[in-house]
Parts: sequence; structure tokens; C-alpha cells
Amino acid sequence: MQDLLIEATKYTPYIHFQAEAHRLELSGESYPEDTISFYRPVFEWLEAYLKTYPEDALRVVMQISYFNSSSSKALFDLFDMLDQSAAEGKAVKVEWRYQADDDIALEYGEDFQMDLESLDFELIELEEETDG
Amino acid sequence: MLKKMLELSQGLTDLGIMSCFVGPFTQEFIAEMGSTLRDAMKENNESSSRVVKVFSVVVELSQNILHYSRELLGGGDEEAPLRMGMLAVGKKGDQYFVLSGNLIASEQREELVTYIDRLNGMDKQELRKLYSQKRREGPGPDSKGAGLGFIEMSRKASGPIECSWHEVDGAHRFFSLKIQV
Repeated sequence: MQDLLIEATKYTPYIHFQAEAHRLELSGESYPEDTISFYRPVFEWLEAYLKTYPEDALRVVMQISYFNSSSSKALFDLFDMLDQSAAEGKAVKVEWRYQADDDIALEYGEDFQMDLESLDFELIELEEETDG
Repeated sequence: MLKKMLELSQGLTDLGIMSCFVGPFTQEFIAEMGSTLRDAMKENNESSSRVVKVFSVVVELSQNILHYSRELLGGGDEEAPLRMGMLAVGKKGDQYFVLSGNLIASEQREELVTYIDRLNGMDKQELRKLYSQKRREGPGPDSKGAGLGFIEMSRKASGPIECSWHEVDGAHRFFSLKIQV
């Protein structure tokens, strides 16, 4: 299937989901006016992908420094889909990346980590000046 | 009128208000206002954590006005109306505060005030637990967001959410909020 590539805007994140490489990346900030519309294609892609992807390990790279409350729900729902895949035995690893001095981004990551049961969810501190 | 402008400006300064907007809210405006605010706070050497917290409260309150304010401007066959409200950011001593005000329907008042009182009575752990539960459950039928906004703001605030309301006419109240960060 085709990759999903959405360029970042002032208030929506960069999203690059690669089907062949089994790599999903989401980075930037998220506070769109209409969260449901923005994330609809993301959910659709992920749903289709998770039905087809084989035994390869799926790597999910997240680096979001801010998201509003409705994005929090959308992101949780995306993670929940991944969590279900993991519960079914698929190898899914999430890397939650945050800048060293950014304790809010760390807390956001911890919030997700605590709420997802089967997912391998790792918090990765980046040195300053690194894009990762 | 011009003398009033000076009085208004001085009055705002006395209250510690650095930035104040009254008018129609759009997503673009919120993004610009937020960006300018963050730049100003960084110029003031505020920690990145503080900057994100204040920004976060500004975005939540502004988007609440954007989605829910009952005071509308314009709107025709093709276009949705703009929603009106007010938003201010200030600093007193070491505390930043964010103020918002907008019209709500009278019947919403009780539910809002009850909810805020409930959140104000919770500690950080309880707020975190409620956040987690609500996030998993999903939004109510009237919500354009996830119903998490107030919990999010409570978690970031350094004190209770203050609110007050005033009757404007039979159907509406002017509802205002103050959140310290």
C-alpha cells in the first residue's frame, strides 16, 4: 500500500507512515481546529495497514512537543489501535522522543505509557540541538 | 473616546495584563497569538515548561471560544459564523494568568460550574486518573473536542480555576475564567 505523507503546518504535525519500511513517524505540534477531519485519513491508513502487515517489527517514532486536548484523544486512539495489534502478538515498538529540558513532553509520554497495556512504549531523551 | 483608550491601557497594565484581545476568534488568529506569546515569554527567559503550560491554557481557552461561544458574527449560506469572546494574558509577581470570557447559553452554566468545582477539589493524582478515564471513553454528544480541555488546564494550573458568570439576557450568561500558571 501507499505511504501516508502529510506535511506539517503551524498547528498540525508532520506525518509520514511508510508501509514497506514498517515505520510510522509523527512529529511537531497538534492543535487543529477540526481534529476529527485532520486525523480521519490517519486512522483510515493505519486501520488498512494493520490488517495487512506481516510479522515484521513495526517501529513508531513520535516527537510531539505540544498537542491540545482533542489531539490527545486522537493520539490515544491511534496508540490504542497499535496496542491491540501488540496484544495480538505483533511486534510494535513506540519511541516517544523528547528534548532533555522538556518535562511537559516527558509527562505527555508518561501519560500514554501508563495507559497502554501491551505496547512496548519507550521514552527517549534527546540531547539538545538534536532532531533525532 | 481617546481618553478612554489611555484609561483602558493603564487599567490593563495595573492588572498586570500584557496582552488582551476582544473580538472574533479564528484558528489562524489563535496560532499567531500563541506564537507571539511564546516568543515574548522566551524573551523574558521563562522556562520552556512554563511557556508550554501558558500556551496550552491559551489554546484550550481560545479553542473553547472558537467552538462554543454563543456570540456570533456574520455567517451566511456558505460560511459558518465567527465566534466572539475575549482572552487576556498577564503576569502578577511570579504567576502568569490567563483570562477568558464569552457568552454561553444560560442552561450550560450550572453544568460548567459544577464540573469546575469538582476538578478544583481534586489533587494531581485524581486529575490524572480522571484524564486517563475520559480520554479512553471519548467525547460526549455535544463536544467538538474530547471533553478533556478543563482537566488538561486543571493539571497545568498552579491553583484552582476561578470562574464567574453574569446574566446578559434571559438566554445567555457571560462566563469568565481565570487560570493561573
